[in-house]
Amino acid sequence: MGAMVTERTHAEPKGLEDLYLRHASSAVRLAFVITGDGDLARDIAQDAFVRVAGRFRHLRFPDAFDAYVRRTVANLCTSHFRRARLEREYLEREGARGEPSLEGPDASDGDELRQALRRLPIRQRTAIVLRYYEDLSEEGVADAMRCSVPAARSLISRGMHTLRMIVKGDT
Amino acid sequence: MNDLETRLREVLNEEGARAPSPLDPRGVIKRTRRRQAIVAASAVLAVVAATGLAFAGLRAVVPPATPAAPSKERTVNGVTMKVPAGWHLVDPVEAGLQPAGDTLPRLIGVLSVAEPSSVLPCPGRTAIGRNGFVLTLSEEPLAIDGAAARPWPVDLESMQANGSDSACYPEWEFLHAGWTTSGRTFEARVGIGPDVTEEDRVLLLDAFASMEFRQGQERASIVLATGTAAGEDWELIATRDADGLVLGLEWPSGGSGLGGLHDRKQPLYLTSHVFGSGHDARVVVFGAVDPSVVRVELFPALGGPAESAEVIDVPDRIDPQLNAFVGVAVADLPVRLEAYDAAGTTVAQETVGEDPEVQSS
Repeated sequence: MGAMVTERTHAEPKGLEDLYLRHASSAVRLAFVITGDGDLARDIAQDAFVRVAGRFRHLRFPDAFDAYVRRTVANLCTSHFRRARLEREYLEREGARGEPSLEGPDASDGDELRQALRRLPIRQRTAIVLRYYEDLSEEGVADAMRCSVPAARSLISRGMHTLRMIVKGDT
Repeated sequence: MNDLETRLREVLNEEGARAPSPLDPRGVIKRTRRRQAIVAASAVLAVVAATGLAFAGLRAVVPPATPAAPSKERTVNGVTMKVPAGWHLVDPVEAGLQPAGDTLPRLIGVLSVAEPSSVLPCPGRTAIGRNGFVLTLSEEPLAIDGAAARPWPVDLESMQANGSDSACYPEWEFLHAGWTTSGRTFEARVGIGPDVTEEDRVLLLDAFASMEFRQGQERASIVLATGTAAGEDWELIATRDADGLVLGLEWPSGGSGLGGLHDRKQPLYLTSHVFGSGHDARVVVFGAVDPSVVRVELFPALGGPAESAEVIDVPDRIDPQLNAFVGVAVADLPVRLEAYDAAGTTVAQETVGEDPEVQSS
């Protein structure tokens, strides 16, 4: 709590908007690469910003704001797909036909690697995006996904193995 | 770098380039400020002008003065307090400190020597400066476990907060307390300026101790359990919505939930969240179990010690069919769970952290 009373040095009255403009694009890009859905990505990026800035994280840890947003985006993406899975299971049990799509509207351009990426479990996909798109180390991926380094390494490794198998099988 | 990694980077960069532009900042900023206002006010520690409450409404503040007249009873949101003459106890909605609504947690009262809406969120920059104080009272989801479940009356306890460098709370002292009474759970936070007189301090503590509470409505939301994992505090909250029981794990920077449990037939439903990283990482596994389950054990993958999850009775008004469980284990994923009935028979097995989110292709 002590850190919460630290006087702000970064955010001036216009600071919140500047902060948003500075971080929103990268947050949307990250969410989009993970989810493949533009609207969802924008919503997730917005939620992540509100959650992080709403708790004054930008004041407490100004240098780590990027990392907080990244971590929150990854968490929100995972939560979204977990909810979607629950909804899908419910619909399946009820015999409904309207299975919610977990693939975004932008995901159908025929590229087999892109499609293979979409078919990965969400945590593997998130780990791979953080590793190869955000260029995070395995420790960075573990931190962003709030898991152990061996777990992050395992997610990346299993994801890459699956991608390799799918791409090899398709080509 | 091998060929697949190179191609993968290219594909991901192409994907990133196709991402849409962010939403208009105005709506986002409004939401952020609203959240900040609630966080700031309820913590008595708001320090930013960017909350939107900042300096726009700032106006001349009545200089603090030790009240000479006797206290008067004032009631806000079902809480009655003896307020010394000249002090202000306001309803945060009426004062424009937060929007109307009944979602918990929620700020329900602010006491200050000056009108709170003119003081928050930065009393240090108003006339009350170093010789003022602010008490905020918030109502929380009903606690049946943990510190917040303590019965009233309670004493205010010191908070670890260093305001020495803060322009908004210069050298202020912070106190807090949580308690449950009359079917409601509350948290009070108090900030006291360094130059507040001893007499005012006594009056403030008397005002706090004078609170009486109207019986709360039956809330469809309660805190089932609290804990700490990898240094981060969490709460397990049960809520009833149209689709039945919803279990939510909340921590300061986020949350994770499990819902859609209406009319479920399996004995065990679960989800998990990993806190921390490296050797300190811990996984919190929580979910719903049917009443036949009396014990749930967690078995980390790498042979770490098995941990017992706590099976918690969910009040019937929230869900008459299901109970909840929560357990913490070393984050050696995957973690296997086994649920047992009273006879010790395994009635369900599940695994977390093993591609739980496999999607349909």
